[in-house]
Amino acid sequence: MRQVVILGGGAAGLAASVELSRRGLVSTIVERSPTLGGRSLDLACKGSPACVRCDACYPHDLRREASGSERVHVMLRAEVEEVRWTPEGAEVKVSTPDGMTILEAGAVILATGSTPFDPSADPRLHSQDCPDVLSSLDVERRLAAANRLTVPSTGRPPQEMAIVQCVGSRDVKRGAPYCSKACCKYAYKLGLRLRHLHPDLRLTFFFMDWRPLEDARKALEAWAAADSQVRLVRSRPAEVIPGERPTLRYATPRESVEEESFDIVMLSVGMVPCSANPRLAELFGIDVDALGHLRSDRERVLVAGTSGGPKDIRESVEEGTAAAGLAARILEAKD
Amino acid sequence: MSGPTILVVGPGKAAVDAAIEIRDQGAEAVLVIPRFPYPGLPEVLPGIDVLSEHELLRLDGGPGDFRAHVISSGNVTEVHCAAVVMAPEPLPPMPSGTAGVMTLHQACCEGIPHSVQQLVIFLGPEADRPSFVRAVDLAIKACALPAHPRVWLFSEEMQAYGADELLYADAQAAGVTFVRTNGPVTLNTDPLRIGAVDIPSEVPINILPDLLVTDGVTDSEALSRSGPAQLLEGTVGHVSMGPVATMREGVFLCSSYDGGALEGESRTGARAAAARAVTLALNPLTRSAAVVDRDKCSACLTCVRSCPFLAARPGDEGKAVIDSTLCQACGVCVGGCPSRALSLPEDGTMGPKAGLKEGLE
Repeated sequence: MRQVVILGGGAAGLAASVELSRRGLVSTIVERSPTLGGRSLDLACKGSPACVRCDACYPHDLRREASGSERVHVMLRAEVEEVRWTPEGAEVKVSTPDGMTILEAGAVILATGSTPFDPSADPRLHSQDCPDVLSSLDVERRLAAANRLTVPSTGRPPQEMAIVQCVGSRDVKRGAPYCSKACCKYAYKLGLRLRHLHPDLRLTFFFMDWRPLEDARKALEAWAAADSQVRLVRSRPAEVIPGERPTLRYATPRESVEEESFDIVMLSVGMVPCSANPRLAELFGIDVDALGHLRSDRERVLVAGTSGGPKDIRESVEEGTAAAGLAARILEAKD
Repeated sequence: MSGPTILVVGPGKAAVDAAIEIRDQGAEAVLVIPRFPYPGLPEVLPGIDVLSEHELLRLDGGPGDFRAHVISSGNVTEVHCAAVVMAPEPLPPMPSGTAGVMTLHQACCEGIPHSVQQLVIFLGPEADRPSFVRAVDLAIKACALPAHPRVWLFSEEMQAYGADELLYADAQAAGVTFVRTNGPVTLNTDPLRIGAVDIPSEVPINILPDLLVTDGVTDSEALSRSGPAQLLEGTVGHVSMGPVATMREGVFLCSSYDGGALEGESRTGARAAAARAVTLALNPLTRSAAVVDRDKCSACLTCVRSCPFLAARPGDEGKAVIDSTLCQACGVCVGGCPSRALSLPEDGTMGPKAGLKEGLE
């Protein structure tokens, strides 16, 4: 029986392999990096202290299940070189550190993910030359490693922190024109975690529109009303002025311009399409949409996770599971 | 060849999507559509057994062997199924009947009358995520009507997720005026009038529309009456169980995003729940549960007191009964039973005992 070849071992790819394994079908995950887990390896649990359903642990559970299954094969540091379509499916040529292998695939699931927006693409944010300007991913990594946050330049716990939303999202000139969907969700939950870890911390959220994924639209306002250490400013800061402490310059709703300095400025970065998408689309004979995301042909090449557009972990896992169901159907139709 | 049967319960599109996916993956789908189904469901679903105007009354048994009791006009029927997909959805609000006022759902289904010159769409505080996309879409369509009506969209915040953001820009290009309201919005129905303060300009705005389309307004009886919400309380699982899972094994939940799922999310969730249900139905886990030897049981209730999963209860003559759907085969009762009346069968594949066996091998 033919197998399913899954490109990418992040949340969506792992979910697909686990679902196929539970159904008794064999799959091979082709992962470019040296480890399985994808972006989730950089994410911190946001329990504050009870679970807030940030889903950061879920890919780890899936990785454990996939690693323990004899029906899930994993190729690390591997990349697809060539695809040849046959009446039975595809012959996928993969290069690994041990040489070339050809995988016979009955169906292919592309779960290659997206790229976090690199804030250094916007020079006004000074994320490269100002050590205390961190991307949300930097904050996640620091929290995951040390379970606390310190001001990078001083090593002391932060007193004043700004959280700037929509960095690289809803920004036609530098990032992506669309909303990245997950940033309001993770920024809010990161904020809860930070307030729990650092009781003296004062948080200021800068945002245009508040779009959490759950029905928590009023939760931020309610939090700010109940917690005097949390402040909301409805504005998209224009720039960061580097200095001893980074200073944000922003226009208030009343059109005046304010400047305020913080210990840490966190930039909530969005998701941009992976630069490898056009090459993958050409290899597998599918389309890239106007925004740069992969489009499934729903016949032999399925797309799951953020390679098909921005989404949170939960939706990526659901897409991986759904793609596995469809792949199983494709395999059965060929047998 | 017919595969295992999977029961799908729900009033809307998510239930239909799940049933179709189950059918296409080679299992038998039985779709239970309660009273008040969502308008616009397909009339015929080839290859799917549809029980309309039925309600799920009770679910007995466990994965691979559920017995669902469904009721329709007083008659209860039993459906044997291997797994269950629940797709609860709140119903759209009922039209109010007030002249010049439509609910968003009604306006999307019936369209905007061509005579309208001044259209106001108002999304109140209870509007859910898909409502915003539908409202912006409706506003764009209204602008293109032959009479070229003026279109305003009042809301506190614009919720345009993902690529829907681009729809927002299209609406602005089409000439839709967005009013971001701050503070209370006053609504009069005779004459029709909407008043609000715009932010950031802080200018009070008063419009006398000839059609008012509303959604998410709960405090005004004249504008909409809420339909009965077909939601299940407390069915959303904890994160560790993963998406589309529930507290009960073999029961999968879709369209469960709090605050409403967008169309694509809802379809993905339905397909994922269907895939998991088919997987379970094809390979039902044989799970062991503790077995009571009634001859040895002295009705001391030690197991009833010590079971961490509340699976043991006193039965006939006080002798222990183990609920096999709750039993996790942990063995606490087996070790604690003074009469050695409890045992665990060997063939279980779940629980610590099975894990230990795998570890030893």
